[in-house]
Amino acid sequence: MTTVATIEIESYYDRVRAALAGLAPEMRDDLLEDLPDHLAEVLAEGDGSLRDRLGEPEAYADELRAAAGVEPGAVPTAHGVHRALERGLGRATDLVRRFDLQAGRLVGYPRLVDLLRAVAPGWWVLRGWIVAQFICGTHDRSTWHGFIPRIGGNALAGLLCTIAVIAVSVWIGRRCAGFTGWPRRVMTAVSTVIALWAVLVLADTVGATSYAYGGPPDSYNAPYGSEVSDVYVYDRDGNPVVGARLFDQDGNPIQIGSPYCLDGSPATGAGPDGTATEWTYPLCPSSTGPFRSGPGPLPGAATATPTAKSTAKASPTR
Amino acid sequence: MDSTQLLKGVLDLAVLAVLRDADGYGYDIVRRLRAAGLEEVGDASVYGTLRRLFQAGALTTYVVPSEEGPHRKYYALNKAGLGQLELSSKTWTGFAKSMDALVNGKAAA
Repeated sequence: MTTVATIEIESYYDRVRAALAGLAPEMRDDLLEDLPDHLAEVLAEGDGSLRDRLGEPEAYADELRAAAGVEPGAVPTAHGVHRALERGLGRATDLVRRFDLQAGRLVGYPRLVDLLRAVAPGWWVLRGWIVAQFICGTHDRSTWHGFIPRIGGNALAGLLCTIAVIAVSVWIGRRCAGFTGWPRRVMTAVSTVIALWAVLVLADTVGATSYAYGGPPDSYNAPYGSEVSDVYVYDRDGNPVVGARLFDQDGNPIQIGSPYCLDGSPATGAGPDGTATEWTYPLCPSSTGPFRSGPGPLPGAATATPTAKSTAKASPTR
Repeated sequence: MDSTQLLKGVLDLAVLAVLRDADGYGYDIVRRLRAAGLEEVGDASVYGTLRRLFQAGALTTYVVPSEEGPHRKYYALNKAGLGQLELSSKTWTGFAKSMDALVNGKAAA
């Protein structure tokens, strides 16, 4: 269908809809549900514009109302707030429709919806993969095993699960192409939840795993701003601890700081050649750190028992 | 005499009769009615009639995806629709017989 035809249908439809403004909204929506498709058929199967063939939209609306047995006086007309809401909703719908047309033109399709329809099979596959990740137990960063999920540590089972769920997702996608009314709305809602979950959890996880090699995940750095380039650990007595490893409450290694020292050399604590795999602190043991000779003993540490000596205390704490 | 006025009263029956032969989508039904001789049938009247019959529970619908162009919503008669068709046919046949006799000067039985 050409853009011209689409615009003709939209404008004809809008005028019919406007002419039926006196009807109750549900009744009008129900009456007009298939009209755009119907007008497209009319236009596709003959010559001449819609107005040439069907007459003025207002006359069409009158004939439609009479044939459907909906008398203008027989239904309650909207008043006050209701009518304002109606009008607002109508305006919003018009805006969306205009955006649909204009955005579509930008990407070379009659309507944006046409592009979305064209890429829908890709979304079905992606949706299947997302659901498979969820079913196989990927619920946050700590349960992420990579693009192929695992079932009980078994990658093959995870792969089979993924393939099966993708197949189901594609099957559902093909089947619900013709859904209208509430089944369609339910499908849209479910898809939205899946997409949101993917954005909130998976994107964060995938981002974090590929990010760990470039620098620390944001969440660790957040409380300190972005200035933390190294962490120095001292015991109760103020003696520096070298080669300390830090973990959060979930057992995830805390990877904070830069894999390069201030002088530009690779941080040995980050791993061999600064590949950022070890994360032992301080990352740059050769540097003197914030104190010339340690921060001194903890206040009141004079009475500490010898066992307390091994209790390390990291300077930044969460 | 304006045949569109006559059509109004019998459009339900005409649409039901067309659907008895085969299921059809909106514009297809318009075309079949016109091919059957009801050339003045209005598109909006047929579309409105279909929506009303559907609302009244006389029709079922199903969507057939189309390779090019929009998906088509097909209408089909269900049991209630068949019943309505049968009843309306009887009424119509009786009415037409009476009218025929009246107009052509033959006394009704």
